[in-house]
Amino acid sequence: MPRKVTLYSVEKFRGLNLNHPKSMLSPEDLARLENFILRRGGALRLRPGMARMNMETETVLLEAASFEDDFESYSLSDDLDTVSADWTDVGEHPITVKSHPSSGQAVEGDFDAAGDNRGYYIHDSWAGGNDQWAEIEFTENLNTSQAIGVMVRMSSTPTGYLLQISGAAFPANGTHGFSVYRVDAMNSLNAVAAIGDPGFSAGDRIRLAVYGSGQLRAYVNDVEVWRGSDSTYSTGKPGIYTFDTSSGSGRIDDFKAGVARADHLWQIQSGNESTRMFPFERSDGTQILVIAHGDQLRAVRIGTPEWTE
Amino acid sequence: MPSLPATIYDYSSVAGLRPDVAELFNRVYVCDGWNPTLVWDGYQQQAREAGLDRPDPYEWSAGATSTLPGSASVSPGQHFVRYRYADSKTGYPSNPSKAYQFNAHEGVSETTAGYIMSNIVPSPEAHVDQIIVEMTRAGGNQFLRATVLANESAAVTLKIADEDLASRILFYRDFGHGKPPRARYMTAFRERLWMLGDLAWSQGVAQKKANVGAAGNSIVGSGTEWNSGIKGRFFIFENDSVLRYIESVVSAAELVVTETLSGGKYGAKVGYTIAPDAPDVLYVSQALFPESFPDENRLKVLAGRVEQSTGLHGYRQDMVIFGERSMELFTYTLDPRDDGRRERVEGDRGLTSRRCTIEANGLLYGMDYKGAWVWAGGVSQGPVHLSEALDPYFDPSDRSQGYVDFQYREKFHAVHYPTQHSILWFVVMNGLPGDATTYTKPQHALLYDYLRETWTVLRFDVPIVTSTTSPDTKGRLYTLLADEHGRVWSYGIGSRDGAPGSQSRYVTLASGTSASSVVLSSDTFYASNSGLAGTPLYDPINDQVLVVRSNSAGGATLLEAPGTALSVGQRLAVGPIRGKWRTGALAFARRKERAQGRYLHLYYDPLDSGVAKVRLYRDQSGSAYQAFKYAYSNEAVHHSGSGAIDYRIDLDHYDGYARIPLAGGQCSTLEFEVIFDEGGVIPVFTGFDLDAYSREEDQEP
Repeated sequence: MPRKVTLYSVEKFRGLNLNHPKSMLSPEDLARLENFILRRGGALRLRPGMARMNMETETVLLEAASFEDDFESYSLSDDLDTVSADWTDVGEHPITVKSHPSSGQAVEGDFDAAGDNRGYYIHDSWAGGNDQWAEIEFTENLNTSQAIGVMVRMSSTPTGYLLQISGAAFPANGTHGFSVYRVDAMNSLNAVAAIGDPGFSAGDRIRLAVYGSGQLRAYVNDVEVWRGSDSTYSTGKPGIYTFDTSSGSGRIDDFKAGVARADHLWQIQSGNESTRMFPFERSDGTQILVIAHGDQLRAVRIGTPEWTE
Repeated sequence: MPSLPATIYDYSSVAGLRPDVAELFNRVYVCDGWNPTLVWDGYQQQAREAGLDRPDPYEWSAGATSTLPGSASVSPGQHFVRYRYADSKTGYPSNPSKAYQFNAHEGVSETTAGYIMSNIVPSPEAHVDQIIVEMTRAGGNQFLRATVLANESAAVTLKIADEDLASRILFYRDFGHGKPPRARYMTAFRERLWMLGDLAWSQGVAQKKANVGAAGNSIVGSGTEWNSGIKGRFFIFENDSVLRYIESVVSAAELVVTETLSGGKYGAKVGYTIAPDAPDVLYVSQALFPESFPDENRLKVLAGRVEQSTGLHGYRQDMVIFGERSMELFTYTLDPRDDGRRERVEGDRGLTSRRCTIEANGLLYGMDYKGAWVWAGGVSQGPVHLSEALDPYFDPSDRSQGYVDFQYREKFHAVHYPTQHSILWFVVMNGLPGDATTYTKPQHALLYDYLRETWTVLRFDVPIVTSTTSPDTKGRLYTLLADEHGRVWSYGIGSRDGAPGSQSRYVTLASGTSASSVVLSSDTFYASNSGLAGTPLYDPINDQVLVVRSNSAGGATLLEAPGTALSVGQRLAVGPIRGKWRTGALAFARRKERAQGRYLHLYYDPLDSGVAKVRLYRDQSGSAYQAFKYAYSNEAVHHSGSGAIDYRIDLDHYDGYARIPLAGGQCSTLEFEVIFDEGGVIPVFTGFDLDAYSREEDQEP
């Protein structure tokens, strides 16, 4: 009578050798071994998982403009909101379409009255979400006490964030040049930052972006010139702003708006594939990961995994 | 802490290149074989072109001697004068301008002679901030530093006497900096930058420029994106047999060649290739000057070999140069130019592509067309084949068990996972049994445990396109993997891909679920920070993987619509690591026993939860067998009855043991497969047995 044993100690099989951790697995076995790793003592263990690696970044990614208005197709001297359903007048005075010697047609706040005379126009058809950027071209230099600007997270109150270029001695508190304001009401502009005068001239483009919990970025001709934050307003739309501009000065043109995103690296972006990661220690000891991502070279501070178990 | 720009360089239009990166003296260098070599110091908003241009024009209008007020004067006699640019932050000088000779006292007073050096051309490069004026002593030939000017200076009056000039020696060689070569690969080693490899360019189409005469030399293109770096390379139309030397580049779509283009066949736009004038050249920078590549510091490698260079790696004290099927070792003691020696490494092993080498455990590991190898250095003992167990995956004559798809070899990469003494080669695998997907990006990794000398195949639900190891601020080393969507993951953490342990294993779909999004019933998604963006969701009913684009606690937007529509009430597994293992054919000894196969005993570490499935295959069938009599199993095993192929094993069974009956089905051999597709726990199987009769007993009379 044959003796019953636990006999097929695996050395006698062509199969997996679970008792001999240093043996090579046969090819046919390997073809059937997936995500299990042969560990000490012959155990087969499922591979570990992967956790999101948190990296510190400081830059917002601006998507291509999803709305553009060059004001070319409108009738001259009409108010912008009367000729375009995209715009809504939420200010004290209208903003009007004007001809411009170099840019074709532009807009300006066409008034010259005493006191506060603010034109706020909200891009009311905006559907791009609350992380956004807005840009205007500054077509004519400003006179004293005039200002123009671009807004994000703007409401019809009006509230929101304003990137403003002003003529000298504006506003009354003496701040002038290039500033970011939090607009809390029609005539309530609270300074977030006075950036100074980066040396504007006609033809320059200014842009304000906001994302996340109020991270703000200001740009001149695509170059970031300031960054800061204010968390007061989390929703709203892009818009434009004028103060006391009049014919021949302070016209603006080529409004654009698009989606801003917290950081390109952490977004799902089909077609933008990373091809190389390279850790690097900066001379101040900061550990940085340089990533070739799509056709860009990116840099992030190396952090830690978001979770551990 | 100084700020950090996110995008340090934007190539804008040139796509598809795979940059290589190296670090030396706290600066990062980047090359891709086509664009200029870049350098970034970690602080600047933009990476910039490495190196310095020499003064342009090379021949400049030097100046004249004249009588000047004051007592200082240039010493009488013949002097040479020239200038060069410098970046004072790095101390790197450019190559010099042409040197001119002048006679210091020719026709002027001996005590008041000076030399007015005019028409200096400042450098247009932003990182250049100095102009160094160099002069020889009377009758001498050694240049010394006469003065240093700001980079906006156009003229200077030299009044320095030889005795003052004598101590102003130059702290650099006569050769300074030009622009580094444009090569595909680079590495930093022994305080030098090493570059190798070429890129054949054929983007867009080209034709002879119209209206330049019957025998013109200009070529225009569409979508060609040519740059100045191709000057000196060869151009050839796809329908032609004439190599033309590129004399100059006018724009991204126009260049001039030396040989004329005559005849009608150049009149229509066709494909073309721009090839290097000398392929497979190794470039070595000067020591301590990583952006300076003297002409003599170049060496042709892989000469006579019908293969391309695929990488380079500094190992021990030598530089290893890889071809596709061979290796060369470049050794030197003090200076590569003076005492360097190149030798071929024994054997026929090479490197698949640039990122397939890893140095670990003191050894160099790599992969080529035959599989993985390990090498301890030296030319007399070549690499040792390491992956015999994986040979079928590399055998072009047998693709029945799946194969490493070498048409995507440029995408292969390797990474070290030191915590578990493993190396992972990420490759594109196709033709795997039971997997009809055609992969074009690496979703499989061949894992080698160099301590236990064992192999495993890993599979990921999202393509892993690049990898590296990186320290954190606490001195730990992480293995980082990047998926195709730009996310970076830390490998080796948790029991799921892309989801924390707090995330429920399964979620159930509620109404509102559509092709682009899912809505949950009572379950919730992890929604902190970036939530589950990038996390795979597995649909076990339709065997499909979905990837989260973004999510809230109650639902998620999907990156792509599922191939089969989801239905309300079904479950999705969140970030599961789906694994399986299957034995080979286990033979029963005697015919009598074929009817008496009794039990499969499976041993595992008990877990808090989890279920695995076991499938049985008899007589090497491709289909699972479902007609064994289900009786006498233990309580860890569940089976839904006749016709069901899956035996469900409770992994939380207290004694970690499952007994599966095999009665009633005759067979000569048995294979079994263990499948786990839930995630959330890490099952460990410690062994198995089959009840039967021993071979020793079989052999008894």
